[in-house]
Amino acid sequence: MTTVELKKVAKRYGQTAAIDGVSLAIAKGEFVTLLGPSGCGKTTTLRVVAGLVESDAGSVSLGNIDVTNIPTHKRNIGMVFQSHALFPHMTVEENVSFGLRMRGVAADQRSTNINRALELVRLPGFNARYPHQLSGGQQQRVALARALVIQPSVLLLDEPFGALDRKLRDTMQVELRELTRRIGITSIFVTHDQEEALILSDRIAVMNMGCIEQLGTPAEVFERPQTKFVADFMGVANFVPASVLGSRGPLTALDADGIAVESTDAIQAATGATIEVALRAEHITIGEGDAGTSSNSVAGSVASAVYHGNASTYEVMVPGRSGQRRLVVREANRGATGVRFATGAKVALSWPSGAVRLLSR
Amino acid sequence: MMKTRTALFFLTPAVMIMVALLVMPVGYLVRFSFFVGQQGAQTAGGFTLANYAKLLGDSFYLGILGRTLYLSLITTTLSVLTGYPLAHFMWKTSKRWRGMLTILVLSPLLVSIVVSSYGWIVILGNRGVINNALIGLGLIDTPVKLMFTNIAIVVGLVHIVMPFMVLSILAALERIDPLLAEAATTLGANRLRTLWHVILPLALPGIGAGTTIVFSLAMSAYVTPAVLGGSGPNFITTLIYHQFVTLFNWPFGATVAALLLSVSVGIVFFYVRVLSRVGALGVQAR
Repeated sequence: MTTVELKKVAKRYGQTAAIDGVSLAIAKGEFVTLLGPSGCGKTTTLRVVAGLVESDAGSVSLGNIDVTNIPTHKRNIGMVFQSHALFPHMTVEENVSFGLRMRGVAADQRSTNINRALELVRLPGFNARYPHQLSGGQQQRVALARALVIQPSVLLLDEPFGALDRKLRDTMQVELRELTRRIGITSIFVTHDQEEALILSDRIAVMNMGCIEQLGTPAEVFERPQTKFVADFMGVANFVPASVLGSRGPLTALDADGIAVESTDAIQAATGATIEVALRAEHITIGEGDAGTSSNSVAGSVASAVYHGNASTYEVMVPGRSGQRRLVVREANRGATGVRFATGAKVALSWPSGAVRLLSR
Repeated sequence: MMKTRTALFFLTPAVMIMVALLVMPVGYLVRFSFFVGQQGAQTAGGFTLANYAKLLGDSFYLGILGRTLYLSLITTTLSVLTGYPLAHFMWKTSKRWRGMLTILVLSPLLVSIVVSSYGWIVILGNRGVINNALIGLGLIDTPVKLMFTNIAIVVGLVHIVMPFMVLSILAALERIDPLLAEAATTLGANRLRTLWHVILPLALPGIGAGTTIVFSLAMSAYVTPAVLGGSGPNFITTLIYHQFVTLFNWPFGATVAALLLSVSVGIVFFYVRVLSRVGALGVQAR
């Protein structure tokens, strides 16, 4: 059953389109993340769902009711902001109670609900504190309790962990994931952090220039990006233009700027067409010596070597038809030896055909 | 240690000016109020409490004090009621509008109070703009008396104190995170309830500061009641002037001034205590 549905929603600010025809259907209890760089339209999309921004075109429905023309305060949504937006002149209890009071819930019923909500976010007994007496993480929990206590039909989260430090962020992500699954609430989460999106979401909508570029499960978006933008945003480091040579059994053969490449991806473009080959840095194996003549391997020399602790990153210059080409290689560190190859070392790179993604340009 | 000494060094001029221009005159004033009061005598010397007995025992003088308090309170209330909406609008509107409105709000300070008070005569007089318009429209036959009434004094005072009220409230509004209003609407509050439960409580420090300043200014205003209130002592400040300049009774004038000072300070002190009790001075706001 669909809880949230956006149909061809568009919003312009002057000459620029903030969102340009976004359609998205979210099932009940689903956790969907809008992921993208700043200015991609993810926050505007969320604010259109909340009714804080009026769309120029398209429709929004919540629980099968068209709310396009219904003001925010009648939409029954819960929203959590990056800056918490707690009322500074109210105690924790008064903050959480606010939505219930606006709905005319009786006082005795309110206090039961408030205490349950505070237990849910693991802040029981904090009722009488003021927001300025709480840490950043605690404030965000109160904001979450305030949004959840009204039992909204959808929970909207606008980069809620953006202001928290790394460690607290990790804890809050796990907690939010567990909490939203447990109470089965439909959630829309906005972030620019791909790792956060992968951890939290049932589905991720990667947005670019006001449009959804790809919508899929975390594994689909991470492992099978459909466009160069999505691949790049998901951390793919190597892109090489390639021309299609044809099928070889189950594989597709390509000429990637002079490097012979084979991929398990089925081909969508005709023979001779120019497409883009994408290869993750961590999927490339780096070794000593010569490359040999088989596909999916190339020889080069190390241009830079950076030690990260759990991994090392090498920039390897390989000869291409159009001049020297730079490939980024990441290798997990297993021993206690630091980087394995120094700058200038001659190395051989190879990768499995299953790691090569073919992207239409 | 060095820091304290440097600070004292830089504080000295300010402290000296305060002592010379405020503490000493007020001290003299209080001393004068105990001299024997006598018409035309300026300062006769001696020591008596008779001035205070005369002031507090005469319903004429107490009536003027009461009227001053009453009109100051009306002025303060009206300036909040008209100043808040204006400040709120300036807070919400575009930068351009706000700039123009700021100049407009400050305009009473750019013109001498004497000039603007005479301006009000042009508007409020028997043959002034309002009466001429009403007669011209056939609504009244004879002019309505507006000049030399409480209305004229209050209108003139509200005009002059407006910048202090609007700018105090605007400063408080600008410290409010605009997301708070949005958070309130997502929780089901309409505009009016957002204003009442979120914006107004957070603007209270500004309203508190504005009302304190405006009340003090109204209590001690002289030119406006003198010009718009008509001849004779009708306001506590004009009574003081009357005693000092017309009757040359400096000791009694000093007594009235001392009373005005203590009543004003007492009320403001009490008000600030109440404000800080309800957290309206920004103690809890941030």
